[in-house]
Amino acid sequence: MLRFKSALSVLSKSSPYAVRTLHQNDNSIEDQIKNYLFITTNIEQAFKEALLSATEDDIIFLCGSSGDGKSEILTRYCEMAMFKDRYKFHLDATHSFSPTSNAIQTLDTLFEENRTSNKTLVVGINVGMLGNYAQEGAEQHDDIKSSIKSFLDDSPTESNHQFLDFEKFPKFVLGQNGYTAEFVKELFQKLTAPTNNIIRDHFEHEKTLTQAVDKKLCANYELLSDEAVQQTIIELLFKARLVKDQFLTARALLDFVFHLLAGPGYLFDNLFTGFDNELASKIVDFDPANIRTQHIDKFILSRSLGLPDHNYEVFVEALLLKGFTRSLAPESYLRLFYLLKNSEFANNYHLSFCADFQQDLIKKYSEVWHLHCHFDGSDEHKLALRQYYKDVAIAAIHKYNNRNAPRLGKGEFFISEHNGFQLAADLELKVHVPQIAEDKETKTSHFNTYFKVGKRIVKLPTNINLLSLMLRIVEGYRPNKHDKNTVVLLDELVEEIAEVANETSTLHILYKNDRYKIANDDFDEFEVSGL
Amino acid sequence: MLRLKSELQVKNNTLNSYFPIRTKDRYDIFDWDSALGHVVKHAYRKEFIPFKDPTDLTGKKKKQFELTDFKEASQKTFLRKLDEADFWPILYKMYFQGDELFKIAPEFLLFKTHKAVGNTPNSRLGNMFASLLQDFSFTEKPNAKLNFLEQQLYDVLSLHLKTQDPEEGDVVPKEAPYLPFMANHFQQDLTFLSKRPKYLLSIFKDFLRLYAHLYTAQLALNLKDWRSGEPSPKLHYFILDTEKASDERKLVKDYGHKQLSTALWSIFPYLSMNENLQDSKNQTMPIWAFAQNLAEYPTCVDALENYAAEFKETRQLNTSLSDSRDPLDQLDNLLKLGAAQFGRGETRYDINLQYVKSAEAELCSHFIQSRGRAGRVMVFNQDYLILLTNIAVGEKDKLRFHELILAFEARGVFFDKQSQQALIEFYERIGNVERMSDSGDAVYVFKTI
Repeated sequence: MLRFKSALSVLSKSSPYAVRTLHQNDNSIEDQIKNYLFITTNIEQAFKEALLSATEDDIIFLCGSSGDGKSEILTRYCEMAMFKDRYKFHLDATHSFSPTSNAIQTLDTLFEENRTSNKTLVVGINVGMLGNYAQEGAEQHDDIKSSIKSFLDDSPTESNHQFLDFEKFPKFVLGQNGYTAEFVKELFQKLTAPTNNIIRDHFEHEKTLTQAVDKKLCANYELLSDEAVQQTIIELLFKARLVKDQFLTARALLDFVFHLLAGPGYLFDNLFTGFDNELASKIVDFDPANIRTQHIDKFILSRSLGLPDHNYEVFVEALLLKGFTRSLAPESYLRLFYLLKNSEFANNYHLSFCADFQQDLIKKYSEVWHLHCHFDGSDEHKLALRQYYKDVAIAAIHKYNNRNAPRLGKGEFFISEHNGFQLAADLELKVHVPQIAEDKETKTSHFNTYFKVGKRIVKLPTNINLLSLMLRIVEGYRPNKHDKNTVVLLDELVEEIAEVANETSTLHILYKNDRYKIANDDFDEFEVSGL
Repeated sequence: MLRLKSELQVKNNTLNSYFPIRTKDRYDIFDWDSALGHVVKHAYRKEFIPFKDPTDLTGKKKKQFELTDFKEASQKTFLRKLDEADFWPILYKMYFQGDELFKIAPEFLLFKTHKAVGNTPNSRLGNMFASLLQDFSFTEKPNAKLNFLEQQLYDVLSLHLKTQDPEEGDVVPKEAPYLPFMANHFQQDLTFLSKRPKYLLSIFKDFLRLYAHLYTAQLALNLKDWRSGEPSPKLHYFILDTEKASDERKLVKDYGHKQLSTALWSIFPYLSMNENLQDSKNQTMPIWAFAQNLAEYPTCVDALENYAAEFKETRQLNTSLSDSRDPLDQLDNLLKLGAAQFGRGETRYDINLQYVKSAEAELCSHFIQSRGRAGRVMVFNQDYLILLTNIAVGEKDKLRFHELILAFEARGVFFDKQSQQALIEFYERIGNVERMSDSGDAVYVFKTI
């Protein structure tokens, strides 16, 4: 038996097992662990079907990011007898076998050979590399290059070029009842399964050691075995995906799990202190220790002063039995409370903080996303949509557009300012339901909102950050230049609104405390009021 | 046809082509608003109709349409249309004070092209852009969305504008473009901007400053390489103004400010020699094209050789000359002599020193920063960077980062790997990137307009 930590190190990105190469199966314990953790994904199913139905003229591209698991899938199939002879597998298109040629040239040669061969070509390739090849590949492969370009543009490709893209099989699915993350969930379950689990066997063995048991590691593992804890971690990963646009690849996820368990501290600290894991470094920004509420501040203060608190003592005693030390920093306790927010533990002291951790953004996002992406035309749905546009979207746009013209009322939109004179116009801005019903795009990362501005229909793609910004604007927040990324989207919309407003036949002019109205009647005469 | 002047004479050095600076120029010689007007005039092919001078009783004299005339004409129109005459002063305050008028539509900038005393440097700057524009004009006129008040002003202006007569001198370019690649991009980018008149107006000055600098730098860097034929973008490395400049960055150091600074020394000597060799009646050619022309007429060697000897004699130079029978070697001799007359220790040294200083101050200073031990470096600030990104992405929705860098380089802007990293971070911060995967290769950059 290996020590528990060594067994787990298979997961680390620095492990030799992190990258799959051919003929690696040595049936070592590490290999067994890896095989145990292997999860058959939807993309693998799709890949298998593509292989079975392919003819010899076909080229199948399995594309994704580095660490997605392309090689993992490809090695499995290229060693299977039924595929071995009829297919040519090129595992990694960034590799070249000759020191004098680069990846592009290697691909050129590969495609050249394929033209005369009677085997189906299967290529594992990074999406970035695909883009490079489409630009720089040799001329005689223009057919392949144009297929690649079409694929990258999301348009149909030639039928004998198949592209299977990991991004088309998202790890998070936003559905009717919130989101699901089958892949991550299954991984956590396999990792912590109570029986028939080679990893748990190592954990049990570690606990029996008489000397130098890695207590921290064991405590972390037990904590991770709690399903509610797993759910909280998944929620954080999803948040990183939506808010930080973080890609979730298999390798990054495994490394993340290793970092959680075997990192420098307890799991809850590892979770919120980036270290060198790319996922954890994004989650840092969601650290509950940075939330400021009266209750939390009071907790930090009284812990720092060591004020007596009976309930707290009981809770800590219970923790002690689980292998955690007594002397954690107040911040660490908060992180632990956050992690346990959906679990029962000891006297449930931690549950009193649930309200402080309440962040409804994801919930709100799922709701509105669902309203747009799965609009069913029911009255109930329409009502909810109207509510969102009235209370959030339009309210925020109106506030943002008129931020420098506070004297404008409802339905009036600022257009421009000239030497201190502000131009504004009345404008009808409302939700455009038919277009929402027609929009079939269902990407998790955003939803498309549609407005009717005067006679024009305007589309605004909304991601979670823009939603969050709009919610805050409604509450009275004024965006500054640090919000630049999301404000750009809002600016575009506001400019379009100003353009429509500028076309109207009645303009308001505001200057200091004066207010004039000037109307262009149909006889090319201007009627002025307010002088 | 041989482009060599038939009678070569050693005269004073003069320069009227390809570059807007003169030897008497010092600092603050350009008004960029006026350069805007010249570009608008050229690209729109519009000019004012001279109108009857009201002070002339015979009614024959004409005068140019001035801003004050425009104000009067606008007032008349509005007073006819407004039901309350008292509203005119409000409109007047809104649009006629400050620069508000020029923000309505690009055509209003034509007022800035009026010939006035002390305006010649500006028309020289205008000529530099005209040289980049060649016979280019907008095929599709920019269509600004105006409200009904602004539309009135625009209509009044239009009444006094006419399309330029193509027979008139201004339209026919006086010189062939020195840097065809730069001219192409300038025209292409201007076409792109013309379809977005609001954005164009907001960045017009920066746009011209940017191109003025890129043109200056690439012209200077390409001068000596005339034997290679049509110029191509030469390495010219910048860093972002948010980056630290370090001494170790080889590309930034070797192909940065120092290289440019040295290259600027050739502008006046080379271009004035070039001009001196060509007949002013013809369209002026760049040195590289002129050289190709000479090569076709080997018999011109004698004329060149004699001229070189005479030049050397008159200027009392001790430059060693090649006695090859190749006209290009003879041209090389002359260009060397042209430069040698401004050499250190020569009486003309200070003239070129001043010239280089003015060129750097007027056309490059926006892109130069002093950075402690690393010395002076070429920098791009955020505003110029966003502008460059937008015009590089152009009509497309987005560009792969790799292609974006190529589009920069095609315009003479180079960034090393470290700067490219900083660029991606910058784009991420302003939120105009899309990643297709976690790989650095699959980053797409959007424009922000």
